[in-house]
Amino acid sequence: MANNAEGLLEREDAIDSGKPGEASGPDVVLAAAATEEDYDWLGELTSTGSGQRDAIKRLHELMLRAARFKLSRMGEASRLGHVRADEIVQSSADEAVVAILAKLSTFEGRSRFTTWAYKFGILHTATAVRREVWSNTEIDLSSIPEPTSRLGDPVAHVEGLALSGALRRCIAECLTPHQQRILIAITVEGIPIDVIADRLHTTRNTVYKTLHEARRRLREGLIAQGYINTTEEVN
Amino acid sequence: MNTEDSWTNTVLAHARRPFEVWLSCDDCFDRSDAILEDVLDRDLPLPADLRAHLIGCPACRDEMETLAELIAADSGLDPAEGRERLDARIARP
Ligand SMILES: [Zn+2]
Repeated sequence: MANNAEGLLEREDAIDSGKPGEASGPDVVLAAAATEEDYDWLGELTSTGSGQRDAIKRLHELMLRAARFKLSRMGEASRLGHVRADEIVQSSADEAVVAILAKLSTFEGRSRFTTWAYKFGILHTATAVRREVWSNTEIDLSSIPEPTSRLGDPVAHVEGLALSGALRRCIAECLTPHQQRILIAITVEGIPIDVIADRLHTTRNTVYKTLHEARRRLREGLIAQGYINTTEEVN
Repeated sequence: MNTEDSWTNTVLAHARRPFEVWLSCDDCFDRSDAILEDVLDRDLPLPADLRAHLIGCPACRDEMETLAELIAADSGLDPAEGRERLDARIARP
């Protein structure tokens, strides 16, 4: 752990603020709500020598806390085993520190520095765990899976038949095959958006845009056919 | 199980959600810390675009809920309280 933090010190070139050998933190003007502690973090991380070294070490500890916290809240992480889970915690904390140092100049003091930093630790850990958990699962994103069978109350089935048919027709007619596949993968199969992005060698943003457009088109189609109304809101 | 009934209900539920105001995952991430403090410290509502994104994007919602839990824990509160306050703001504007 300490070794990881020490290793990060060798990446001072990645720090996105100030010139080498010059502390630039105190010159930065943050949002009015920023605290002395926020200025301290920024000043120390952009300084040199032992001050910077200590700050990076504290930042790494903060990221370890965020990574462990995130891991403890992911049910699927229990499948990783202790050794692999700890490796992910360490590597996610390392990656989060590097990402934070590279983006220091984007910290504007609109939240506490620790809140701003935590989100990097959480993102890197969540992404790493999801990637690992799905790593041995084959995902076919080139074809659209069919529902397997009908189960449950026969009367409800009859009532739902028209809706189900309309939905499937609307999906087939309103969405491109790629949009259909992304929609089903995320909403029905529960495949995480960043896992899909990995498999398609694209970004989470791009996959979300496809999902967003697919849902928008589907919603318009279902509203036009009277199957849902515009005021419905389900969370 | 991926039966036709559960399939229909799941897709329909997603189509019915108020996800339509556009915001990207990157923009959600960039703004999440400040907006979360507005919710937890100042009891302010979520901006419409960020709320719509959290309704529509399971990964961003999951990560922001964890951030809410972690901030609550740091403040000496029950982590669940932070998460519940965020979820309440997602549930109603
Ligand atoms: Zn997102």
